[in-house]
Amino acid sequence: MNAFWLLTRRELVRFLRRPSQVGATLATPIVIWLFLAAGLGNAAENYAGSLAPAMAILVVLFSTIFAGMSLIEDRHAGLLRGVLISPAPRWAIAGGKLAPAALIAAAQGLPILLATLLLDSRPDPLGLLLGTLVLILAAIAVGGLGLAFAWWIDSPRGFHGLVTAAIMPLWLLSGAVFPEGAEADWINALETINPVAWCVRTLDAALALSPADAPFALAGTLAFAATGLISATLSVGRSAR
Amino acid sequence: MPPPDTNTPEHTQTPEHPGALVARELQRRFTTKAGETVGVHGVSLAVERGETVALLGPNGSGKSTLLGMLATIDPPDAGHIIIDGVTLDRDATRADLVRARRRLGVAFQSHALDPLLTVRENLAIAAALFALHAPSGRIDAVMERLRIADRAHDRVGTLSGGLARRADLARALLHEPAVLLLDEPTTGLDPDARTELLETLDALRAQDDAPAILHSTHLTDEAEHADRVLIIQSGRIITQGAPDDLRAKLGERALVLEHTPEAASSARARLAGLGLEPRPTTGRRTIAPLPDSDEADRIVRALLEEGERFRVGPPSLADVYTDAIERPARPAQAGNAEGATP
Repeated sequence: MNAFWLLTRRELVRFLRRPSQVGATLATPIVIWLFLAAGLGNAAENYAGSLAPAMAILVVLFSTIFAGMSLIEDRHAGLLRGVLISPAPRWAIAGGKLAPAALIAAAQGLPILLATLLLDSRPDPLGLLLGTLVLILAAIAVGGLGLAFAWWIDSPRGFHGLVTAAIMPLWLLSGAVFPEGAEADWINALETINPVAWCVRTLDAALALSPADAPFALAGTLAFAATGLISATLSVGRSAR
Repeated sequence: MPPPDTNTPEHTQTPEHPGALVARELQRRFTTKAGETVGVHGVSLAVERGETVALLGPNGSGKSTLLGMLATIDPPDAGHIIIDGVTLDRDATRADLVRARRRLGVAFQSHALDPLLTVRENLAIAAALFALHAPSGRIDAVMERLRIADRAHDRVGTLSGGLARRADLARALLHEPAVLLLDEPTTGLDPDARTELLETLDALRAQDDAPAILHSTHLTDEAEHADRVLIIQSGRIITQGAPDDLRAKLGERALVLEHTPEAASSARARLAGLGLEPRPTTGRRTIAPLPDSDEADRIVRALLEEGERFRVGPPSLADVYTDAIERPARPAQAGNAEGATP
């Protein structure tokens, strides 16, 4: 357990000692948010506010890219080898990467949720708390899958390219980006099977304090998180005896 | 009395004595686009506690592959390893692996420390990975031992290469392993830092509780620090022995004649014509033990008159290395790798 806590702490300390990472993760979604809100603001009522859950999830998606990249960096720097030849349990090694990635991602998504206080949609503090939990679930899901991919990909550029190529379509099809009623039927169909859309819908329902309104999305988000968790743990376990 | 001839694969690859680190018949294959190649051919070795053994070989000779197997990073395709009494073979369980790793310290060519964390923070993580209880005292002790205590709160990224390597050695020694594996520990260090690290290793082996140390290198002067040297080439240990014993095989004095690789056989014939017994070589130097001084003077004069480039003196470990590495392949080495496995 000690190994898990110290590895988690290490990632958090590293994050805090690399402030540029904070800015890089937050800047892109905020710029996209501003442009979309300005460009499509007249297409729907409170478009900027309704976009907030999708933007918070986008921050989580971008943040978890860094978690995968950090794993590849650790491998190239020899840090990972030092951990893998220790007798520490594999779950502690996987958890020591995934838990801080989820915490950091959720912490970075939280300012977006707080920003909704400035907009028309004003979530309840309990809604913010539930929303943060959903962000953590989404981060475990995407972070776990990202770490599983990063485990088998040696090139940071390859990993970045692959993950970015996956993230943007998944996010665009999350059901919150296009104004309601403006999507084609096939986009609606894809949204129903998109796990990122489940996360956005669950987050939306959590902020509105009505998670019961999205049972399918909540179940999907939980299953998505479980998939990420299992993928990360299995990758570490299988590759390191 | 001449030293025993250890320069045969049969002797070097089947040591009978036990040790803190024992490897038997280790083999590692790689599959490449060109087909299957064998990186390590049935290597056996043993290192006892308090003993330092250098694994000396050129780049690509299989040093890192062998150390990777001994470090439990890469499982061997055949053979087994015993680390301080824990056997790792095909039947080994995860619990065996964990027990073996508790007894093993490893430092790689590049340090395994986080540059954004301080030395002490890195050591605290290492202590947690090895589940050490109340590690603070041990961390202090190992930093003191490796003379990095005054840099405990500095980030590793701000340390010089030599200090970072010493900090990494502290990480590898923190859990007091029975076996210490070092993969080319002086790579990238300047001469002063290199000397300091070698002195640190000398001090370490002089201690009562010194681990069995196996370190790889391609530098003969580093291998001089070891109690025993294993020379590895093409994945096989081709020669081994104490540095003095290895040098003694070339006599008290040796003549080293320089030439082009193409002129190797004529150089050998020339030295044989002068009454010497030159060692076979395919390289740029032919080495021959020199007889007593009168005879030696005659040979030296003859070579000087012919304008040959040569030197005379007590053989060095570099001469031993050259002799071993540049020797024409033995039938076992020249043939199919499978056939070479003992």
